[in-house]
Amino acid sequence: MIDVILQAFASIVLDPVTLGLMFVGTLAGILAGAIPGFTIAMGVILTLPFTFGMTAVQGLATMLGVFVGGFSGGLMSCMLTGIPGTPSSVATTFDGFPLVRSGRPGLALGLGLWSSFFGGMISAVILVALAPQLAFLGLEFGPWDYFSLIIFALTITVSLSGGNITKGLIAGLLGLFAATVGEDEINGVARFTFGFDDFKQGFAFLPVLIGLFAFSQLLTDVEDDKRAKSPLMSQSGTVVKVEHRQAILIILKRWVNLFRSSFIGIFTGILPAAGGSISNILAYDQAKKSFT
Amino acid sequence: MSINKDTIVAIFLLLFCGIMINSSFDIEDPGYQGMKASFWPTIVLCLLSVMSLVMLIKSMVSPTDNNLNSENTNSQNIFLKYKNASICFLMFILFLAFLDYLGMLIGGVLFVFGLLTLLGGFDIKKIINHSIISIVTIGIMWSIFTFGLKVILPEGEILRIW
Repeated sequence: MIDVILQAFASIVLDPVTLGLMFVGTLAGILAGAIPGFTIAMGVILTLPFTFGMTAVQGLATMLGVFVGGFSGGLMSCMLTGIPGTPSSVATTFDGFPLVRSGRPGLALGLGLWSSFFGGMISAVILVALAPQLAFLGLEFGPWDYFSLIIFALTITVSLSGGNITKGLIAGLLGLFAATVGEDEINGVARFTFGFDDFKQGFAFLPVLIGLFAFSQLLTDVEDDKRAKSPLMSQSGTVVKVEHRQAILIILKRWVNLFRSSFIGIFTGILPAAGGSISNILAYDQAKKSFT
Repeated sequence: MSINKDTIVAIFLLLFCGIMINSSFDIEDPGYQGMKASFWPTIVLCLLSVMSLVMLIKSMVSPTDNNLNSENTNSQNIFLKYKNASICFLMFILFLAFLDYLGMLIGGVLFVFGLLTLLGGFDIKKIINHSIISIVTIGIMWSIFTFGLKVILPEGEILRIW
């Protein structure tokens, strides 16, 4: 196994073309992820035609670059604008955006970038070592297990609702109801369309996400006349310097949280159909519970 | 017993659930084996109704500080609190209503300029700033979509005739 890993490592690191393609792919991924509404999957699909002329290793390296870069790009838009660039960065908005607004954008970006880096490294090591066993575990998941996982994820909305269980449950149920609008995937029957053909496709996830986060934030910002006319941050005119050192220290100081979140990500990631959109909320919930 | 924000929201939710449960009876049943298409939405709506009822009772029994009868929330203050949000909504509705005639370019510039001016103030310096911001930002956005991404944005009757 180690010889295979070394061979793969050598074919990437010793090949400047592959490294260059990975660099370009990561850059494109960051740009794609930073645009609210532009998912990582869309970025990878757009990259696919460019890989037709490449070797298998180069093509995979480029698409992985886009994929990984997309996650980092997503955290930038959600921290700086409060709009999650990707569904997997929703939880980053909860604390990242207030931290930016409080005048610490450099630290917020640093925490996001370095958490992504460490989490990525941990998951890479574990996946390389245990991929076959984890894949077996993932494929063992049946319909009831999925149902339980989704119910578990939904119960978390209650714990994120700031102590008011009723309101948390109502918010979760409203979300579930919104997902039922449109054509039923099993029977192909229209539900709650009220005669409008546009409703048949239901509500797309990202526009709802942008509407919920961006528009509500906009209305809060303009609520007060004085606040509406003043800069959103006290140092909005200064150049932001990412606080790498402090961010790394904070993350490593809370290494238990780092490992726990990484394991949650790995476990959710190996399940077919589940992914970043669920794992980020699960990890956030656990982190919040452990620090309160 | 006093009326607060939670009471109003709970009543609104109960009305909403009532309308939606009524609409769920109109969901077609193709007669396939298994669960009907209306099964899960009805369950969700029933649970939502129960939770809304709980919220209504809780808001009446133990009112929070969202009391609408307090001094700080008289009708004038409520209007002032939601004035800017109402302006945003009104401007956006106007933008959508005139989109077919003005198009994305002219409509967008007018929308951004109008919103900035109504929220930001009216003096000459600000109006010049708002004009520049609206023309430049919408112009760049329109150019990127039209020439860069080749996405056809609503042209509008005015530009079409011109």
